[in-house]
Amino acid sequence: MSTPVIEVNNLSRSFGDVHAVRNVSFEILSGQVVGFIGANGAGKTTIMRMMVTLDQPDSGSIRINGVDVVNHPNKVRPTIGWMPDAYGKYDMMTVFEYLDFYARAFGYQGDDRQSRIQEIMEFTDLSSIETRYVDQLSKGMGQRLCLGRTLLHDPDVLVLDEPAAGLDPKARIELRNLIILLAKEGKTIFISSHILSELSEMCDTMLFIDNGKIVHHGSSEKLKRKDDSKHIINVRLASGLDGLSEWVSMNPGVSLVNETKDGGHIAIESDEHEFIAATLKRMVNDGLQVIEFHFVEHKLEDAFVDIIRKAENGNMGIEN
Amino acid sequence: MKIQKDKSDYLSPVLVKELRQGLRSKVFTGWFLLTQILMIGTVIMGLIAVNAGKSTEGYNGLFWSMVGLLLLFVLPGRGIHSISREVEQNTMELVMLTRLTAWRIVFGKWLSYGSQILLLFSSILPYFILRYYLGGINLLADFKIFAILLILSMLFTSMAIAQSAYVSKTKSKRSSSRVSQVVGSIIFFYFLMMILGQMRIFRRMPKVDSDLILFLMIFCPLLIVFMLTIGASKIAPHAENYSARKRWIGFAFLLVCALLFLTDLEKNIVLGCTVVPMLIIWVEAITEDIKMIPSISQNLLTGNRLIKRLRFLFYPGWCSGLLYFVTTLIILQALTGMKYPDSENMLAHFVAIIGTIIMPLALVTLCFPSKKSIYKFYWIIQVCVLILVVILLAAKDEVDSKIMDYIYLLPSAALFTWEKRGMVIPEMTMPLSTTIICILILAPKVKKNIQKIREIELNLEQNKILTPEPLNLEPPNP
Repeated sequence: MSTPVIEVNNLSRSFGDVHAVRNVSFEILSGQVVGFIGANGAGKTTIMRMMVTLDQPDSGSIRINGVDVVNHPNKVRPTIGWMPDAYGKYDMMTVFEYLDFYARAFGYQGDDRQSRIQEIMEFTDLSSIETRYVDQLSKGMGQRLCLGRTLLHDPDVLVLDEPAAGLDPKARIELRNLIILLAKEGKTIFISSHILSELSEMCDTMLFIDNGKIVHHGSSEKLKRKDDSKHIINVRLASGLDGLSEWVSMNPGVSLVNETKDGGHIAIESDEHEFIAATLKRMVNDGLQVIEFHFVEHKLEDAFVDIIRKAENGNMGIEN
Repeated sequence: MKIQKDKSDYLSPVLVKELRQGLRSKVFTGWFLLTQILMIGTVIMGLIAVNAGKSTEGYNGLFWSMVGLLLLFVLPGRGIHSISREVEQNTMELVMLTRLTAWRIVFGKWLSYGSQILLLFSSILPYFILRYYLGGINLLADFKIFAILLILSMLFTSMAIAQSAYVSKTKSKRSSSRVSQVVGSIIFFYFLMMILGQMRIFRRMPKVDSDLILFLMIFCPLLIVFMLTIGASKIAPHAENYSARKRWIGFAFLLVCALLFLTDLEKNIVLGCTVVPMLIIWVEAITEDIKMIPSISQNLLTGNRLIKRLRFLFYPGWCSGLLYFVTTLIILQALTGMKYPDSENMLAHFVAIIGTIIMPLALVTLCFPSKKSIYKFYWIIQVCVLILVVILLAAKDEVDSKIMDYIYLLPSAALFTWEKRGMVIPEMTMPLSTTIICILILAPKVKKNIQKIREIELNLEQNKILTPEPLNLEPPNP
């Protein structure tokens, strides 16, 4: 079983009279990709900054790999990679020199440093612009450079604050692909974003925050389904609606949710993929002329709005 | 496998980065070219003066003015934005997340500016030698002055870097923090110039007296370390406990002061060189936010016997800062007593200093008990009180005598008048009573703070985790 890499316990932080974070607790397991979602001012960046030792909680604790971030910031720092929403640009410094400085600062020396920089530049596709000044880079290139810097010391945990903010669609896709690659390498990634559809493709777990409180913590799979106990499947038939409602009525555990012009949405009351596969196979074997079927997923945006609404009514959904 | 190092690996990463940026910057190139033009100009003027059979004194004055301006103001001035710019550009936090400690960052910056000063300095040397051929030059004395200017330039650079660390992390507060930076720098610079003026450095430039050598050899390195520590303390994580480092430096100043008092050196100079940095350390100590971090307790408890015994002086926060202030003031007063054995004035002086320093603190804790950050409020109250005292004392003939009777309730008023005429006993009761009231306000809070610290220490002792784990500072394995 995976061990918790990030443990947040009863964390609170105020700025004057503003309670930015209120008694927040959660755990992130090793190798998980976690989407951290909340409106502007919900407390996302404050929590992330405390996680990476750049700010201190008023109360509560954060442990990264079992080490307290307030007590031992110098032990935690080598194990985390922090990518802020606005990365700092140096003037009069090329892309190579930028990475070279940070590589030196992370303790790389001589040939090791050179090879690590080359590795990072290849991974983030920066090799072709290594002599360009960092203050002349586009937003997309800048974010790739920032991700490269974050990865230089090969941290176990990546904390990415709005990495795709302000990027054009192409740069966004490039960045998403890089993050998916990192997830495959087994890094624990904690990522905040406003673009929820993108997070749904990358994240195993979603953490929703509203007004300084965690209002949902659960798998993104389940979040995409309105009801945990059943799956909704869109079925398209060559013969239109004919035979579908009759077939549904003959099969227990299956119901027709609504009809479409060439089929309908059916609900299969099971969480087991084997049962779902057997049901769909039976549908074909029973002679229905199926052209296509696919899961109907609840949009993440809708899920977010639903959860926030529930939270406002005092109904939170924390799975742990 | 042994790593193949290159030569730059032996340098600080910050130094390498700063030199790359600094030497490319338009400011450095501009000043380098301007310096060459000005130096060529002074040499031509010197040649004209020699050919016309005139004295080269005016030309020498111009040369030293140029060099002084460059080394004491222009080049150190480049450090004014060294840390604040990085904070504003969001790069400081990224650097802090690397293996570099706050001290290494600040020291690297100072080294970089120092290297650039040396570079410009070496470009001046040929013109300096050329002057020798124009005549009327004592080469050895001039070299001494050059060396003095160079060391002072390094000191002023460290001061500029230290003050650049006083930048607010929130954008809206940056303009006010800049104003306080400038005011603070002017005040410190004024004090430093007063000390240097006493040493006759600017009055008799070619004559290098023993006071100046003392200042340069002993106090300058200590002041540079102190300034860089102040800069580092502003960007370091709280767990690093820079409060303790600053306070140890304060003890170092007192130790140097005590040793030099045993010699025949001018005691006013020694006292001046000690009191100015001590004032900064005291105000820093008593305006610090209180941070209860168990790892700090752990480090202090696992330190040697001396550190363990004195640990309540080294915890971050104004409560232990207050204990440190009173302790060091007693030591300083005892040292001063060797020169001023007049016990009545000594006591008055002691009371007035304590009252002046702690009165704003007492007012802040009384009026804003829930304020976590007291630094700003302390300074506002302190400056207002000082302005009020100066105005009342300046206009004492026009002000109602009944009001003037109570002016000594403000201990700073007693401090100002004491220097002129000494203090009479009835007047002393007023600052004394204010000081006692301030102590009564602050004492319960200090006691509570010590109790909290003891609770943390007891927890640590009961859990027996007092052996600090070594930091893993090995280079990463790519």
